[in-house]
Amino acid sequence: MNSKTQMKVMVLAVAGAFGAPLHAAEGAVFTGEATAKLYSFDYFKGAGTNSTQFLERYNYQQGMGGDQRGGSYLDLDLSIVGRNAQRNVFELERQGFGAHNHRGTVKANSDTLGFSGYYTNFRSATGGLSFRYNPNAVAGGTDPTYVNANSGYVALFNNDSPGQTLYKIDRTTYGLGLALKPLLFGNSLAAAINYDGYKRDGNRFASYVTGGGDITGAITTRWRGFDLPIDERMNRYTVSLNGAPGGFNLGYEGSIEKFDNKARNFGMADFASATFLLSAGGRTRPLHFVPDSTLVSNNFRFAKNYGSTAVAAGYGLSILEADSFAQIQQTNGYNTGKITTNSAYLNVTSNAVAGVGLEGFVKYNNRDNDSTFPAVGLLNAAANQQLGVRIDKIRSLNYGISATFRPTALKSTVTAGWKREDKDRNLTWSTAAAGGSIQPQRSLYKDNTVSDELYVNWIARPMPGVILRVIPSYVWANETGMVTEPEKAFNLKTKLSYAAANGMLVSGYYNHKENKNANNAFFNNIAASVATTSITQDLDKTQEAAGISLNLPVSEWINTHASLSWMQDDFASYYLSSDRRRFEPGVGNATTLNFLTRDRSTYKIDTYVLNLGGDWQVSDELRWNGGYTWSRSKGNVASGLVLSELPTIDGTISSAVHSLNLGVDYQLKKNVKLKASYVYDYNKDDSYAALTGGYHTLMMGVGFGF
Amino acid sequence: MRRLAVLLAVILGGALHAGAWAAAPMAAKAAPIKGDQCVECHKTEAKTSHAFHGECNSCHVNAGDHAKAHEAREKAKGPNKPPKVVATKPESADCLACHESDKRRMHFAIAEHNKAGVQCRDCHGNHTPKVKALNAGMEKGGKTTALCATCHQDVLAKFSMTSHHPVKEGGATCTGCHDPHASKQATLGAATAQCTSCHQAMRGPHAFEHPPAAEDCKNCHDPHGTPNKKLLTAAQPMQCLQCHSVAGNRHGQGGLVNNTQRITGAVLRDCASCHGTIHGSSADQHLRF
Repeated sequence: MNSKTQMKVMVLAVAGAFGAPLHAAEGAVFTGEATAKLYSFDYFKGAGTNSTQFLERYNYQQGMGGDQRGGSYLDLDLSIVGRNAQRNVFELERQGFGAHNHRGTVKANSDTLGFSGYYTNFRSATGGLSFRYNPNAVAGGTDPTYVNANSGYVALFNNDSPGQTLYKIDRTTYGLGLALKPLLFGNSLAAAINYDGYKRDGNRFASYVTGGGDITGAITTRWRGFDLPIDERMNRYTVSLNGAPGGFNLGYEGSIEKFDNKARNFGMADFASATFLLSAGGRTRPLHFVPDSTLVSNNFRFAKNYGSTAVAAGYGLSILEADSFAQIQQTNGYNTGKITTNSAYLNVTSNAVAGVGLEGFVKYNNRDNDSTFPAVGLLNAAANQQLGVRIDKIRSLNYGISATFRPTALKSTVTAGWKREDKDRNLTWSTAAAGGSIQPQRSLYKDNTVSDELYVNWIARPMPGVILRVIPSYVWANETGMVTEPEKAFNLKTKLSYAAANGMLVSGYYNHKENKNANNAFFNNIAASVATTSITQDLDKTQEAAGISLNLPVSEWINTHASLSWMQDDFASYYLSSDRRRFEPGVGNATTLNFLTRDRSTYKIDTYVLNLGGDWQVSDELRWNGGYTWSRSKGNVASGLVLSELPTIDGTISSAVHSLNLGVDYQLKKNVKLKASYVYDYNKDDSYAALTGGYHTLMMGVGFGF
Repeated sequence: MRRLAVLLAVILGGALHAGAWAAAPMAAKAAPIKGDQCVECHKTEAKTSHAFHGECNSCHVNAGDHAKAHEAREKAKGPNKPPKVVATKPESADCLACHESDKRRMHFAIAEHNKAGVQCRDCHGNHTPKVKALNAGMEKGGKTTALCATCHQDVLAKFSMTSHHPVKEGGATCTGCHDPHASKQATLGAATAQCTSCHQAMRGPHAFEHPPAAEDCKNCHDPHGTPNKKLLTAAQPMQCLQCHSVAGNRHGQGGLVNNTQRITGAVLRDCASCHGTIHGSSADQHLRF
């Protein structure tokens, strides 16, 4: 179905659908409010005369004249509710925060039918905080001393779209839903049909490097970038059926999701004639190819209570297939891209034993890679310098049991449990001669993961309004398949809150998460005849967070809130190097690759967030509100040798964002409300001054009620 | 295709109209509030209850006892008044008695929220919304996000970090990623499905996969927020160096075959600047294009 046809279907369906609920809404009372708003905004400082970079990533504004730096624009909020004695039979809401940030929803309901629709639009600047489109202009971004024939990659950056500095992407989402309620089927069945889609278009800067053999020009032309258009469509159609025959809850959900990449596909040859020369191999290279794809999912769910025992189960099958292929893939016979995922779960909970709640679960997931393999010339385990590792299958089994008690002490609920993850990977490593391919001994990616976890979840209500949560857990793994998986982990989540009768709410939390994995080793030699030496990667990652929060109603008319949060990321791992790339033969020994521990680098960043705010209902007509948020991140992303090499803008994080907002509503007449707000944002970056910039905006609006 | 589209629209519209006609008599039968005795005192609540919640005691199961006790206390004279009976608030089980067959709630019994002791009423205000008005700073984020933030303060703080999903800015919502009624133990589909339901361009299928990306997006990204670019859990280069050694060849300043030569910051500052197809490539095993 092409896009025009889809649009016609949508328009007709909406037109058809609207009539019914509106008919059902006969006799309903409609109320609403339309608020016309005038915004004036101004960006100051920033990366350049036309960009504030950081702030525009999250708040892209544009005036009526098209000016991004400052201007004015009109917007409209709309809210309509139709209500009868039973329900809201009709709801329509539209909110706008500028030409590139707005959304709307519509709902209509009767006893038997429900209709819903939505859209959102959000634009984000995508120029990149690290100025990847112009690393030559960044201190340390390029290094002219890279001149060797086997390096030279970062001696110079070559921008093939030098005139383009504006990068932005719009994401527009939309959807329709039709719910056929149980009353329509005698309370035996419920059904829903949903359509969801999005359009994503704009551009981003894409970089790449050519291979050493792909280029015949000067070595400083290898590292390149260009303006890559984005033009994507996603359309998903979902059917849901739910029924409860004979006390069984049964559910089915099936969906077809089509993703289309409509943007022009680029290849290296697109830029060859202008700036550099390519070998024959280089001319066939696609750049950032994104395939069209289709995902078909079928999920079945089941739930049933047997006395005090409840059973929940489900099975899902999803198949993701590529619908388009790059020219080089087609040339080499790569014509199937297919990932099949089977998943299932079974969960049993029981209160059969007095005073104890028991639970057991099993969850299974199997990911099969059914894509073309081998594709000689592209993807071939038997050829030198080809595939390092191909994931054929990942099969995981998670299972566990837990018991819940309710001791009277502190009115507690305590759950103690154990669970295990068992993951098995079928991997194909290159079978090319040793020294000509990445061998499993030279990778930290492994076949198996087996880990156990013990946990306790304690919730106490020692006095009215007080809730204490303490959730410690400990993980230990016999095998880990990836560095990021914990060999040992200790997690602790705690929260204490108190809600007073007068509406005051005070809470505090502390979270601690510590992962270690020393179960990683490279081996210099892969031949059994040669003495092997190993080099170990040892990972240690700790995340801590703490915060306090207070919501305090000072009076019936004044509410205030304050919160302070602290987060710390502390990470350490080795910086390892090798004399050649892992698939290349070593020096003087065809099977040896020499690794070296260069340094142990630590990463430690502290972030603080302070939030203050409140609202004041001065009178029936007048309400003030305001807030201030300050967030500060500071620390080094590396230490020692790595930090000494990094430019300050990349090695050190030192930034703060201030955000101040004030709002006022005034009920001028029964059906007329005046609104105004002022927002001030200021991003200060001490490491990279170009990212410092500010924004302020003033909104004045008039709301008309009806 | 055009005929099919028109036919589909007509059927859809027709079904809706038919349903509305069928619904009309039933709507006429249903009484708005039957608990007249309750309304005498609880006028505001009576005006604001939602569909099918007109019978007060369908949710407040001891409402009758509460009313009787109140009446007895009103009639009693002297100091020995009968004790108050507080009307109970609905437990999740009371709500699920009607709503469990709903596809999103059929597994609420094993949902994380339920296990944590969160009741339906903690989020859903049957009489009035939990979040009534938003301050100017949260208008873009919306009421749902504000509601989630009342409990998940640690997550809310992450959305103030340098790199974050634009939730407070209105570009995303908590419920766009998280189903508050669902259980992690009852998820189906690929481990990356939740992220790639919006980020389809990353899902491939790729001829050359990057294993951590194929297994779980969270291996490299924290979706709520981080101090690093691109929501990375650690900044480059250490994000990459935890798994990868750096070869002198191609990466070293001289491009020589040894592992002690200098590798400068121009290489270390952003691995993905050269390895640009970091999530997977159609044609390059080194994920460069």
